[in-house]
Amino acid sequence: MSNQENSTVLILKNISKSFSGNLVLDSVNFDLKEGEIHALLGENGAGKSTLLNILTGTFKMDEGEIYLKGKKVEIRGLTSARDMGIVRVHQELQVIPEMTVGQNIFLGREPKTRLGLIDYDEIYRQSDEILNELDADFSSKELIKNLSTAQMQMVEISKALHQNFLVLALDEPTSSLTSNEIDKLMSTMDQLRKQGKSIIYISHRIEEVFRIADRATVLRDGKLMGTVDIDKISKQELIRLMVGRNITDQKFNEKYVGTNETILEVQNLCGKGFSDVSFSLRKGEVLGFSGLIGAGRTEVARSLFGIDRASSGTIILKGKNVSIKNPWDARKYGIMLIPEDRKLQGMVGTLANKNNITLSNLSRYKKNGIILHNKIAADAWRYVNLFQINPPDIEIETRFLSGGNQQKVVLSRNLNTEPDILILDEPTRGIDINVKFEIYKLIRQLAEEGKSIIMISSELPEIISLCDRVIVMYEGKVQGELLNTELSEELIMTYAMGEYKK
Amino acid sequence: MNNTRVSNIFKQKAWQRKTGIILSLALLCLFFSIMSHNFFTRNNLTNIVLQSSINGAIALGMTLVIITGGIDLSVGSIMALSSMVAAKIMVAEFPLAIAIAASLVLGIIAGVINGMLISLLHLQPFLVTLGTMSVFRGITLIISDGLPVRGLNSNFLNFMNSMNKSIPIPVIILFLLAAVLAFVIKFTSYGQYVFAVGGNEEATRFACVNIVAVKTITYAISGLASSLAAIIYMGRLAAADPQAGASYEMNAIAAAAIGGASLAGGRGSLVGTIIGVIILGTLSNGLTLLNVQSFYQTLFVGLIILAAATIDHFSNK
Repeated sequence: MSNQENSTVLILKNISKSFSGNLVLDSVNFDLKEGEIHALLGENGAGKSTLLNILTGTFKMDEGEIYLKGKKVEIRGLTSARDMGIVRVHQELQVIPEMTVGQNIFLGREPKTRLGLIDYDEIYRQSDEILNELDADFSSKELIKNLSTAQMQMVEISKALHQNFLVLALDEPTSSLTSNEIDKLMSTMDQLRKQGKSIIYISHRIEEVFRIADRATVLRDGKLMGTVDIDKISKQELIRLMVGRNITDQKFNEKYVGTNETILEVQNLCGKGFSDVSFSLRKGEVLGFSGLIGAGRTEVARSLFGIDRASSGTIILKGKNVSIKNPWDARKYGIMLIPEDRKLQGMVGTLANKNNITLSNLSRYKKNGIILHNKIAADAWRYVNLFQINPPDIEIETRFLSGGNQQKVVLSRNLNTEPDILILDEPTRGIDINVKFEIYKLIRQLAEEGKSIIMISSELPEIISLCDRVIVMYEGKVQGELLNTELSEELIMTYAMGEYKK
Repeated sequence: MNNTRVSNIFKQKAWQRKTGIILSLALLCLFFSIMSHNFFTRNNLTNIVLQSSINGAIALGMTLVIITGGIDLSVGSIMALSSMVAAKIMVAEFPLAIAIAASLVLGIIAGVINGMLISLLHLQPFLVTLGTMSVFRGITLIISDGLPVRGLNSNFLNFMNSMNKSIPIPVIILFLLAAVLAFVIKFTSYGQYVFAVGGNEEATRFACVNIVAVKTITYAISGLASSLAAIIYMGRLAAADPQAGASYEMNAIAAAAIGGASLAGGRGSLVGTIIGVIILGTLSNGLTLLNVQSFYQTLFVGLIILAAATIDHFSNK
């Protein structure tokens, strides 16, 4: 008994929190052992972030107790949490691009020389030591802006290591990493665990949880659903615990539904980040675009939507040569794009839901040049009800919605223009499982209604279960094309890594 | 059900912001009414709005610019330039209509130049309008030799200083401008795009909106509002002065900010700005009635802006 007490680093006891009368955490318990990776799971809005925010001092809890190494503590704010050794690496990395790796690691705690000046030799010596320990492939003198996302994450972890943390909270660390980078992060986490460090790990990806975590705690609607040992539970059981129902590894593309009618033909398209891209899109099919991050998929999509201009090449739409100079040209041709960064590119957070939903085709709501607000409201309600957007309110600003609901608003805006071709760039990134499945179903339904879908995704299971055909890109070029009958993770990855050439 | 409650709270906050400034204005009026018998008279209240009409016209245009996330520092110079050109045309005894039309067209052209530089070349609004502020002022000084122009068309002066149903003409111009812009904001797609561009320009581009057009129109409206201010200015001073309008941009920004416009873009209201303008006008009028030295007026204006910024920050939380 006493032995177990010793090995427990952190205990959260009966934590409750409400916002404006809304209970978001309902007496939740959580504990973290020494040398443990403990996954914190739940859909968006389940209370994971709130719990983490309480632990790191961003929010104050209403009720509950926190014990750190057996002693009751009171966390007053961000610095207080940090001083106690609780460090969080945010989903949006908080590094300063114009400074070096070493400067970032030591930010706010710079060692001084005898003259009171910053001791850079010491900074770089110690930083390199930490980086070596983590097996990092960059120097502490490198500027942050020259690093990849994965490397920046490594810097954040180094920062935490330098502070000698007791508890490290990683908030969706893999959401923008390629699979190689994920492997690297996993091995770093494993290494830290072997050194006896304790990690709280938030992720939407079940596979990763099973790969790395020792235990998992599941929250749903602010309530504790249970804490389980990963080696004693199946994926299905864990998912059921999260969503409250059974979701099987559903396959959406059992049979090929596309027709033979080609709607879009792209020939030798060149532009910034891609060259000589040719492919065709048929009416009523879901065409996947797979590849590593930076393979040029987003760039091709942007040029088809007129955000960037292609430098050369031909785009043939319904048999006619077209030139797409800007997004409103694209809309006119019936092409819409759901961009990869929802918050920066997909939606205007400060607009009400109804205004976001109708933003792309306001002209439809005009009579004699005057906007009819009741028509806007009627259409907005149509989408809010259709997609069960929550809260069901057309006046609320979109920024107050959860990620999944925001994505539904973005989808509504795009569908409201009644496009023939819908391009979706990573449409399920950072979205909880329930909404993900709704989006998958919607994509298939749209294809069945005769729309053509281009689906860019870095999640292989998603590509495999959804697409009729898949184009794999590698370093800006089309590396291969696969039919749904031959799709497998291995085959896509082989193409994506540039191994085969068709 | 809980979610509906959450959304109601957000709606309440927007409502609280609006009632907050109306309440501040009421308190200010109450204070001056108690302190001075001459304050709460029909004549004086009309006077406050009349004195605010120049700043009001400029501030309305500025509000649109601020909602798009921009800033227009050149408004005072545009006012000086278009009043100078109109005055020169009047003095040369061309028909009055030509002078007025020239003034308004010039304001629009100046605004279009600002808007094109900002939206086509992606230059920063602060720098562009800082530059054109100096350029337009320079042109005004050159064409006027630095001297004021008097002897304006007497029909024009009589009209501008007359009343319609006991409302001064400048006040009518101000409220007409406010009404037209309010209509544009509410009932045209351009008006909806103004808020979208200011809230998130990149996302608005992805939503198939022509950003260049939206921004150019916005700065053109600001230029037009400045030349309307020029017409009111000439009517009230019976002259055009090449030095006119210096630091008017600051009063306009202050009024918009007091009225709830966010310099980060995406937020602002024309009604709020009008109330902001009247708060500033009331303050200066009331303090003058109480014989408070003008130095203190400057101090109080500053404090009000700081208070507005603080309230806005906390009510946005």
